[in-house]
Order: sequence, then C-alpha cells, then structure tokens
Amino acid sequence: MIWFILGAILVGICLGIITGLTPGVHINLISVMIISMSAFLLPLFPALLLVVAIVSMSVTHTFLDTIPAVFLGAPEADTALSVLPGHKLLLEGNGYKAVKLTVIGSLLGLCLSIALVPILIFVVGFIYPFLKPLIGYILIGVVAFMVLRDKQRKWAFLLFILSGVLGLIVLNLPTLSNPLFPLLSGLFGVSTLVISLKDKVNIPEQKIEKKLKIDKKVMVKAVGAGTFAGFLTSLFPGLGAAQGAVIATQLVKITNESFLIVIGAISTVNFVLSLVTLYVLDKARNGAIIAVSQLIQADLGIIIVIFVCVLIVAGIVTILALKLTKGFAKIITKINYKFLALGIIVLICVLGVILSGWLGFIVLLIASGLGLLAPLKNIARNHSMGVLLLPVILYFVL
Amino acid sequence: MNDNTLIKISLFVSVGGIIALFFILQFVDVDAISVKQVEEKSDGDFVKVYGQVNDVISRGTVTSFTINEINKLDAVVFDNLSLEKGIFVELEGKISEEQGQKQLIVDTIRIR
Repeated sequence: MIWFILGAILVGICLGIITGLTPGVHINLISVMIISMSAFLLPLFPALLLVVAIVSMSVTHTFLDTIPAVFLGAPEADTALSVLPGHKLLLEGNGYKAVKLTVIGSLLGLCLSIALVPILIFVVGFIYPFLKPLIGYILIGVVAFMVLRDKQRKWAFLLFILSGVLGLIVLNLPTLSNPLFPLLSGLFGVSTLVISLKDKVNIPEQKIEKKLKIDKKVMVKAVGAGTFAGFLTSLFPGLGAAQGAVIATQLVKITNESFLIVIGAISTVNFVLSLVTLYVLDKARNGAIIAVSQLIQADLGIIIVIFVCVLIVAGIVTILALKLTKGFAKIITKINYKFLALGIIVLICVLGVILSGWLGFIVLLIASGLGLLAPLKNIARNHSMGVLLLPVILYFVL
Repeated sequence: MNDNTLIKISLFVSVGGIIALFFILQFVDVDAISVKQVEEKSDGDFVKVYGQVNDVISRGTVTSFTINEINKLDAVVFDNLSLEKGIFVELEGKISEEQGQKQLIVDTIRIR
C-alpha cells in the first residue's frame, strides 16, 4: 500500500504544480473534476488514494501559489495580500526572497499546526458549540474592525458592500457554474494585472541570495501568529487568508518580511487544520475538503495517514518551490512583462468562458471593474472579500 | 535562515514522514479497496469499498443496488433503504458469488 500512497502523493504534487503556478486554476476546480470523474476513478483506485492525491495537490498549491502572486501579480483570494509586499520586493530585485519567506511560513506553520493537532482536536470540539451561534456576529466584528482601521473608511465600506452584493447575486444564480472562478479572478487577478499594465512595470535583475537575514524571534512570532490566524480561518466559514492576516498583524509587530511569512503560514495551516474541522465537526471548509468528505469516512486512522502524507508533501514541495522560484527569477527579466500580463488576462477570460459560460465572462468583467476600486482609491484589497463574507454573515445572522 | 537549513528541514520532514507512514500503515485500517480489486477476492472474503450509488431496487426487506457506472459491483442490503442515485457510500460486507458474478452482501452502509 505504501508505494500506491507515495504514487498518489506524486500525482497530487504534479497537479498542485499546475494549479499553484497557473493563475486562475484553483484546487477547487480540480477537486470538482475528480469528484465528477469518481464514478470512473473509484472502481479503479481505492478512495484513500484519490483523497491522498487531492490533499497532496492542495498542500502543494498553498506552497506554490505565491510564485505567480509575486512574479506575475496574479493572486488568488488566499494570496491577494502577498502581492503588495511581494511585488515591492520583486521591484527591488528580491522576488526570490519574497517567495522564500512565504515558503518558510508554509513549512514551519505546517509543522507547528500538525504538532498541535492532538490539542486542537479537543479545542475545536469544545469551543465550536459555544461559538456557532456567535459566528455571524464575530464575522461582523472582524469586518467592522477591518473597515474602521482603513484610512478611507467610506470607500472601504462601499467596496465591502458592493463586493458582498455581487457575491449574493452571483452565488445565487442557478444557471452559473463555477461562480467563484470569475468572481475571485476578477476581483483579485485581472484587476491587479490591469493596474500593473497601467503602471508600466519594469522588473530589475533578480538577486538569488541563499542566506536570508531575518531575526529568529521575528520569524518565530510570525509563524506563531500565522498559525493562530490559520486556525481561526479553518474554524470560521467565510474567513479567508486576507482576514486572517489582518488579525495576525494585530497580534505581533509586522514588517514586510514577517508579513510574507504570516501569509505563507495562514494559507497552508488553514488547509491542514480544515482536516481537523472535518474530523471533529464533520464540516468541510473548502472545495478540496468537500471532495475528501464525499470520498471517504474521515476516521482517526485515515486522518493520521493523511497528516503524515501532508508532511511528506511539505518536505518535497519546499525544495521544489525554491528550485521553481530560482527558475522564475531568471526568466522573469527576459520576458516582456506587458505581453505576459496581457497573455494571463486573455487566459483568465478564456478559462472564464469555458468554466462558467458567457454569463461567467460578464461576471468576470464586473468583478474586474470592482477589483480596480481598491488600488485606485488606495484602500486595502481585503475589503473585496465581502464577496464571500457578506453571504456567509447573512446566512448565520438571518 | 539559509537555503541549506531549509532543505535539511525539508528532507528531515519528508524522510521522517515516509518512515512514519511505513509503521503507521501496519496498525491503521486503510483497507478500503477499489471495486476492480473485488474481482480478485474470493467468496466469503470481508471487504470495505467506497462508491457512487447507481441503480437501486427496493423490494420488501431487501434493497439491491449497483455502485459505479463502469466496473459495476452489485450490492445487497437486507433492509428497506431509500437510497438516491448519485450519493457516495461506504460499504462493508462479504463477497458472495452468484452464477459466476460477484456481489457484496452488505453488513454496514454509511452514506457520505
């Protein structure tokens, strides 16, 4: 069995490389494809192997998705906040350093969260029944805090409400398939690329420094804050990495560098700990976990096997991420950034039509327009997460 | 932290993980098999399979159904169940051979 599991891990890593490096191709999409093909796959492979492949893909994705976010300025919801500090370092010739910081956050956050799993199993089971009736109000508190800390509160509130209304309409369209793709790609992907085209970005020669000068205390604090925030995002539906990052930045003093460690830790820890939420609460917090929950009964034995597989994947992908980033750092200066950005916008539009039809394309255009509001008005992009938060808040409060 | 330290941690985590997986698999029950592997099992063998419910026929206290569209497996439950086509199920039971055709006599069914 061990060879089959290692084979499934390799397949998952290959899929994760595709989803992680290709802007707009999310793990939810591949998970949905695996589920829709399960009638053909389940007779051929034990369900555990499909689950291991999905989990390996998802963990790989969380390690690699900052590479396009930093080098191409094409993020997803989870990496949206890494664009600004990441892009800043890229423009200073430190793109490799930016990705390396997120990889350190992912690896150390993952190890810490797995070490804490035995405690978290009890904590989640104990506190969730008390928190459940309060979830909607806690989320309102988080949103209010985020809006009030922004210098342009009115615009921040307007962006949150407009994104939320768009989310409410689009997520309730019965004829639209894969609604998250055009919504998130428009709000966070296309809009960022359009801005970078407008700003006529020139990318300097990238430095590849093997030694990273960062204070150990700062690193430990950032990993701790990222792990805690990742735990919260796995517990609360609708709370994404962006909101988690805002919470984490209130816990510790954050610099550009430690912020990237926090972002790396949050998205990986969020995925790892959503397996705990599945085991303890039988609740799936993202598309990949929904696929896992449909394929297999997550008993303790299976969860232990999956966590060990996650560790194996994390080790392999850390080395892979450093190699791939070095490659990106060498190539990026040789590519015409304008054509690259235009190419990615066209790719996202084509994928939008393929995955969600012409209606999805219209949603993509609207979301892209709305996504421009944050950089044009100089407000934080995370207010656009109202697209998911407002529907979730209304679900819990009404 | 330099690259070599990061790579050392990665190797430790990966190799340690593989060794841990080897030992854990000796104790943990991960014996759910694919429907295709059912063909290799003998009459009376106890198996656990996952699948998607296809055709369902309920007659009195017997419910028979197939799981999956290709490499189908017939399953029988001695109970009156209302199963919907397309749902995912986990089945545990004994293999029985009827006229050269393998079927699963279900002891436990869990709907996902």
